[in-house]
Amino acid sequence: MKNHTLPLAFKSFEKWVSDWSISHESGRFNKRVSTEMSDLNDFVVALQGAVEQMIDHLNTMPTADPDLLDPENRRLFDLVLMWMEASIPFDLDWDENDIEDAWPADRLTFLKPSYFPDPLNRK
Amino acid sequence: MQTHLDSLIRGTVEDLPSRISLGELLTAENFAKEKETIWRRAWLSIGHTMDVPEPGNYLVYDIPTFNLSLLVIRGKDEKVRVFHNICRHRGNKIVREGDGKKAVFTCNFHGWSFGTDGKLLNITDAKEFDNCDPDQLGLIEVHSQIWNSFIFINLAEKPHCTLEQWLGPMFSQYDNYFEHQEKVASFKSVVNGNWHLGVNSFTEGYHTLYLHKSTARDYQGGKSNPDRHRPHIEIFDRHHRYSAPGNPDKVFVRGEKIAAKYGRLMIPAFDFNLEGLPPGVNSAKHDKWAFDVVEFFPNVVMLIGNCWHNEITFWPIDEGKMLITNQAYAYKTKNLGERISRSYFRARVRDVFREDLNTIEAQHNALSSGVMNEVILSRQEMALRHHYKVNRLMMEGNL
Repeated sequence: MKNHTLPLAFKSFEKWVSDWSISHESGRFNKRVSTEMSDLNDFVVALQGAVEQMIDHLNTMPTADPDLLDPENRRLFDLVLMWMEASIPFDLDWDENDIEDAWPADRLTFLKPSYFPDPLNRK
Repeated sequence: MQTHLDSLIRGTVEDLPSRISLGELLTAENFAKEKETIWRRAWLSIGHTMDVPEPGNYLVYDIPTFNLSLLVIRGKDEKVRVFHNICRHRGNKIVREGDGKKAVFTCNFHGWSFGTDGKLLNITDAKEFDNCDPDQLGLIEVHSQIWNSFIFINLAEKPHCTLEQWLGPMFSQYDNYFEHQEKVASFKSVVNGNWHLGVNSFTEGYHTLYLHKSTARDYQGGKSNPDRHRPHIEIFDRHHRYSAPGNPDKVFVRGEKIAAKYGRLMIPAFDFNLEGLPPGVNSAKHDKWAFDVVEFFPNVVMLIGNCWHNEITFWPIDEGKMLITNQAYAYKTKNLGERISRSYFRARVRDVFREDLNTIEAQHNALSSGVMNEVILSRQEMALRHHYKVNRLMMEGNL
């Protein structure tokens, strides 16, 4: 039985998986706008040096369809997507996790393919 | 260096109004007229044939404007048809919601069943019915036509024109464009505002310097076009489009650099690659072109880039409420790096869209209050001027 949740090369990032590896756009967006900036920053800083290595690794997979990945690589893929989402407030110099004058997050209803049942049943 | 860009404008614009008495358009009485003179007569886009890719695939499409539910089915013969989602026996809704695949559509009320072509296949306990001809009791079909994978419907008893006539010159200008993209994201919102305000929020670029200063601060314009004037505006009979100017001086942020390394640039970053685009996309061949904005009057606004497009669909519920759906499409990916890149740009533009959306309810409340009836439109808001001309002509029965 495997005792790792990510591919072995990225084992050191496993502590982020349970809270930050989220499989659909809806969940990633809501995670960003509901997380304190300090916690977002911790996540972004922790992964920023490895993100491109992670994508390079994922690009060696024989598929462009994340639903066909094994669970470890699928978690890694979702973790990278979450990092891309979480990086936005810092890249754009926001003080908060969301823009001030924007349509409320809870008034968006995400539809397929932005929301679909989690293929790994993690949440 | 040039620091001002005059828009190239094509089409008849001399008679377009620059002041609109918008308050008058937001009333229940006006909306009741618009429903019959515009929404029931117009060709309306409800999706793509790729949403029902194989025989038996179906989807339920509800239209709140008329309290209608439609059933879109790809038949065994590959033809995509649109039906009213109503059992011919007692009017029950045959498929409640969603999409899927079926060979037979059976009403769960009394078990009447219909084929993928809408024909009535079986009446349960048929001998108990008098004068019941199954050939006359198939699902009620809605007028529909396919255009470059779009499914258009017309709710009139008899459409007053063909889809080709409705779309005018644009009909032949987008061949082989939409079919190369796939849906990558979708969401909807019910907005407490009039449908005109919804459409208007997405059909001018004047606001981008101000409203989007936090989410896409330098994606358009640049040093040579600091006011972000539209390079090209085209006015047709019913519809219009304009091009948005990319910014060659844009500074890429960290996420954009990573996304650019692994995939194609998408809004809010542009690569100015104009290869292989059909004549309707960037029709003026502007070299620093970012994307086009196209309004298919009345219910769809599209943002069209070189490898992506966004479809924003508006369905009025009443004079002060509408359903808005945003669907993003993009190039088909060859690897996971492209998937990640595509998702990143999609996340960026979602925030831009939320800023646009957030102007509508405030405007509606203010303009409904009676304090201010008239709005003033600049030349950079030419599309809005045209929108209201088309609206007026259709309400008068002259278009």
